[in-house]
Amino acid sequence: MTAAVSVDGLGVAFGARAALQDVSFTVPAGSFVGILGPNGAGKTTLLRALLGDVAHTGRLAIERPVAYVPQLSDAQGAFPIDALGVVLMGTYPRLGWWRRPSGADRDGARELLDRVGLADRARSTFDELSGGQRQRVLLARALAQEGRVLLLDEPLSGTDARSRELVLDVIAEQCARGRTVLMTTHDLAEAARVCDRMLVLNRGLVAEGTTEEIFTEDVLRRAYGGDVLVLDGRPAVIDDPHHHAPRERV
Amino acid sequence: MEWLTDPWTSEIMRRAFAEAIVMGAAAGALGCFVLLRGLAFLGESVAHTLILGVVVAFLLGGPVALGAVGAAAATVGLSSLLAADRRFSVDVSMGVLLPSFFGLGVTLIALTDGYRARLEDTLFGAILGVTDLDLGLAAFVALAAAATLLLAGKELALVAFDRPMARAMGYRVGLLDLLLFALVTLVAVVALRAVGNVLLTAMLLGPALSARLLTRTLWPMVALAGGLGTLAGVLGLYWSYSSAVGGGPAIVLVVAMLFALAAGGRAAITLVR
Repeated sequence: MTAAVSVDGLGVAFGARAALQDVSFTVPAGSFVGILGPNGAGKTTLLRALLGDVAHTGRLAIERPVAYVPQLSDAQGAFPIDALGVVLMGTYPRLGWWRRPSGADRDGARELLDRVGLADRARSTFDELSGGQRQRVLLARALAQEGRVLLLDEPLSGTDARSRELVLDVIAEQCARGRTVLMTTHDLAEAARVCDRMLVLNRGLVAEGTTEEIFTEDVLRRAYGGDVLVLDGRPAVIDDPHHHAPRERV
Repeated sequence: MEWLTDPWTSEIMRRAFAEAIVMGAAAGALGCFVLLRGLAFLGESVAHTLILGVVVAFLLGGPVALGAVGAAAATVGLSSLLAADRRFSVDVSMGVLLPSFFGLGVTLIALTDGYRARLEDTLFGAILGVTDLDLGLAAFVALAAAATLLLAGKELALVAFDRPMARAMGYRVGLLDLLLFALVTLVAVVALRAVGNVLLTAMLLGPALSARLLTRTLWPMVALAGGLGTLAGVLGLYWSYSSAVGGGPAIVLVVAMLFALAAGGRAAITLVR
């Protein structure tokens, strides 16, 4: 099986602070990888390094094109653009400088909106959509990019059950077509249910492998410290919403 | 109907109309990007640094527009040099350049005997005194802005909407920034002549703000802002012609009135719904 992503000795530092150190792993094409770790572990930083958006040390090879669904930010809500317009942005690299998206591009974008359950919201502006809907629009944009590798930053947080199922459906479909998906999440149980591989970070790589190999009390304790509880032989992380570290600085 | 045609019989007014129309359209359209990128401070800074170029041009006996272009180029060049250091944002580097250039300009004015009388022109514009060079520059800037929006408009929109994505798609985001800054600066030079240093930011942001209230997506907003900028230029000149109000202040006041109308209309629509 060919590797879609291969990383060797990756390090990222913001000023004097090391966000990630000596991270090495490979991801087989067609896998669905969950990137886990406590707040500030470097999950988003890893995605941005893979994207080429932050300077890094070490070797990094990734199948291109790479598509990215960022964590939701409020800033984007103020931009005057409708859902269809956002999805069409995914076609820009293929179009080149002066060309506008064609009718066929528009039809394609509408189909992708339909695929993420938003066929009726094509003309809604970004700030008229809920958080989950925005994330699905950005997922549709990533699909429009026809990326070989999809990087999703917390695509399941702050969304309703319907959004989650739609997103997971689309991911499964992409993996079945040989595309590779890397998703950060803080929801361990969900990751264990849906991902076939896991990557556990805490400023460095704690563990990496198939879900069966990773989802053990020992690995989770190393990543999350004392906040791990074992119930019926299955480990779980105690997720205290009042005790979250500040959001990762990017 | 005489009030409508009368201003157009004078050569001075015809030139002023040409300048106001071209400047209004370009400032309105580009102002949308200034607004959406949160670059209001860039417009303000450029406006204030230009005064140095204007004074230097006066001292050397050269055309004012060229001095302004020189100061603008120095501003954009130096600020992008500073901003290349990750610790400085464009805002911060502008914040350093603005007082330095402005202070130097004001000092030169204080030391120059003949200039003080023309200071008002620099601060509030002198649209009735536009030269061929001013008009040529305005036309060039408007064409450059139109060409840029046609060739790279969707890329500029992408950078404004989602910078990391644009970079990941392989776009040279820094170069696109520089292109936008350079255009905004050139528009500022043109608007300096029309409405002056102090009122220039209103010309850049007012029509864009009004258009943002009345539209849902970017390109209608850009078109409307260009139209509102032009309308303000024309109405302002009519007002100025038939009263004692100066051209620059009149145009900017019309911009403000159009914004009040847009905001009022917007509020009324929200109430009715």
